[in-house]
Amino acid sequence: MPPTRASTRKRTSSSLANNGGASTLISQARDQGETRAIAEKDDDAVVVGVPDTTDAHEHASTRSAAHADVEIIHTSTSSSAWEHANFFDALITMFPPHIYLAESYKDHDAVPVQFMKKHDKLEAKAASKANSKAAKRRKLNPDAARTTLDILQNQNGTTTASEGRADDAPSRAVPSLAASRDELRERLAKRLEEMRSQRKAAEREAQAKDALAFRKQTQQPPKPKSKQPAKQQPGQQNGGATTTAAIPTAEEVDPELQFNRLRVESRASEFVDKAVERKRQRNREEKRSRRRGDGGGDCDGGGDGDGDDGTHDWSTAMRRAAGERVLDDPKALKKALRREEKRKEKARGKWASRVEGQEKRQRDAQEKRQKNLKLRRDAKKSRKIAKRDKKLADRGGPGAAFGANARPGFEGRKTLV
Amino acid sequence: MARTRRRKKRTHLSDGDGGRSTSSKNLSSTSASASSSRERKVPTSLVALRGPLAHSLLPELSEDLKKMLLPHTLSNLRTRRSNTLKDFVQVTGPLGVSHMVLLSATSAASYMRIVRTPHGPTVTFKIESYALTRDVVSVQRRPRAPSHAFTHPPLVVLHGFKTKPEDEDGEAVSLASVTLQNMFPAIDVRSARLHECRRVLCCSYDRETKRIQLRHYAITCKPVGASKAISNFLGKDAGGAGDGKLPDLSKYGDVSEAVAGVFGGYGSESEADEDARVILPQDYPDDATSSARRMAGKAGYNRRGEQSAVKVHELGPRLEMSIMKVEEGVCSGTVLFHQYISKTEEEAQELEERKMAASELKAQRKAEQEANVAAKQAARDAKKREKAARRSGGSGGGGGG
Repeated sequence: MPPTRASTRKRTSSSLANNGGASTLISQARDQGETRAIAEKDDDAVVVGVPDTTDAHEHASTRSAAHADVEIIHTSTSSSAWEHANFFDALITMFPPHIYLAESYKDHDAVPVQFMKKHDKLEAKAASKANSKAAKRRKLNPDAARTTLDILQNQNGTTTASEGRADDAPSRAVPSLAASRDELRERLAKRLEEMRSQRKAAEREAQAKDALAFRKQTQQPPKPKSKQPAKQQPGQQNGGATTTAAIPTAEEVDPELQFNRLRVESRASEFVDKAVERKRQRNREEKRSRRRGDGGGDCDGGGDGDGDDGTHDWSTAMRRAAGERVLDDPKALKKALRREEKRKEKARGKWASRVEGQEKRQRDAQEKRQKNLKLRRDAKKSRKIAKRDKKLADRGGPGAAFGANARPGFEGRKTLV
Repeated sequence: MARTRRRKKRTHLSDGDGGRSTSSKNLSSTSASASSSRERKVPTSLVALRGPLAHSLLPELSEDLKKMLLPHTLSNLRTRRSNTLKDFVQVTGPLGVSHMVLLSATSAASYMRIVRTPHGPTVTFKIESYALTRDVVSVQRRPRAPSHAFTHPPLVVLHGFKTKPEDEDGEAVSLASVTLQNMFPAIDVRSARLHECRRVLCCSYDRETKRIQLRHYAITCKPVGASKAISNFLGKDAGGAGDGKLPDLSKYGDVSEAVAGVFGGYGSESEADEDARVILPQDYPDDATSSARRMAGKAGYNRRGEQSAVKVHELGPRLEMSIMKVEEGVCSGTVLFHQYISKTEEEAQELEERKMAASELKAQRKAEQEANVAAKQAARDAKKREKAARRSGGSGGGGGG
């Protein structure tokens, strides 16, 4: 059976992984002694190759590569083996680790958050956020960047090929990450410079500088861009750029001056849900009154004998005068709560009745269906009986088939239904 | 009173948030910008007279105050002498009133109360002296009351209301200032236009005399640079205030003579003060112009970036008041400040206790009374039942015997 495409890819990658391991193992072998290394190498190759038995071709290639390596070591003609090893290493380096090591390189597992309790959910979310943050940092850290090969070697727990090779092996063709980065940077800089020259950036900058110098020289302030400066009154601060210098601010004229209230809020605040906002405020007020330590004495005024009650009255009055809604009447608050509760109760009832109605409708529909089916069944049955009876009757009326003519077992029903 | 006009709900779409904007639109004689359905709540005021003396003494002042508070005031609200405070409070909700200005008078003095609805506070001012619009206008040589000035709320300028911690009535004064500030809509920095600033309300507090002076002015603006004669001529030419006739130049030998020699020196602005000159950040049509577009580019039209002279003309009324009392609720509740009466803490507490006791007593009596009524009703019901039983029992017995 030919393997599917997906499985083929996987197998290819795993065989490549074996090859990646090969070079490191070779280097190990060089350290430890040739015969043992051969045995190990052989074993390893076979063991790793086991899952691939169905794919004869690739397996064979893996094995033959391994054998070739072994042979080369055995005969000490190491240079061509190293060439091969380097070639495979270079191949592996070209794969980003997350593609090459699809299963093992995952940073964290996805947690099914939606089925968790709220507390756990929040914790899990926070944890995963922190995790992904750390992972990203790790991933993008240029000092800690590792190629696929590095990771593989780390996993195998061996020294790198280059280290193991030390002096006698020829240097590998794989460019180091740092080197490639520098090269990329160089290319980027080159490209940027190219583009700058294309749009004549330097020339323009020089022109802008000249224009600025010229303007400064002629003492012409640039025209104000804003079309809507603050209101102007005699003595009031002016927001317009043209007159800021000429007109003193209100503070400068007289620190005692006060003006209309100003509204500078954004347009977004106009679209706040009023009901939600009111509810929030109610909660705030409740908290405030709880903090003050008494449940009900607020609305009656400052007669409770507390030292700060008078100030509380003033602050409440001030807030009210400024147009703020102060919800400090426990009666009204209770009423609002009750109303809310009632509304919820009502909604609950409505929902329950809706669900009930739906169920009833479904039940009714089912019943009707069953009834219709039964009707059909019965009709069919009766039709068949009628047909048979008609047949019997045609043969000579009821009982005509019975008697000597009928074969045993084929007498038919004795009676009409 | 106490009745609001019935709102048609089925055949007329109410805009946006229910009755508020609709009612304010209907009742305020001139609505500045009530078109947007997402419009914010603007402070709306209701001016009313309270008490028989006020009705005979202060009707004109109330009219003046109404005009001063335009456009966000119920200028067409009809009241009667028999209306109680409760009536006024009742209509504030449906009509979207945020402040009530109640004028009252005794044989000793007149008072103005500014009430923030629906929960207070109430600031009571004693009117020490006042001058009506009529009085202010009568002493002016050339009174002006540009009608378009009342399409937008006045600017508010407060002076001397910033209190220091050592002031004994500092809280009352700052509450008064907050109240006065909040009677008028806030200036929206995004949408405000300079030509909306046509009036200014100046309030100043004198710490020595403890009095508040209130003045009401119209703002006018004139371009400076051209001579009065020329600007007059151009204004006439544009079909503004003038009669549209060309000036008679027959007595001059040359046009330049007319412009420079006889009409007056170029740029002689005797009436415009040096420090009243400003460079306007936006266009500001002069009060003589009925249509800004028509006058654009003509003399008398104050253009952005050009020099203009700002002047104010008093409109009236004038008020001189002192803060008399501050209450927590709507003309009720705890007295937070009183000009004449001050209470020690013990006295306040005693008063509070007395009030509590009174309310408790009231509740107790109410409960008692309710119990009595219930008992009586129960007795009556029992009697009735007994009677019915006797009757049915008696008839049954009669039938049996």
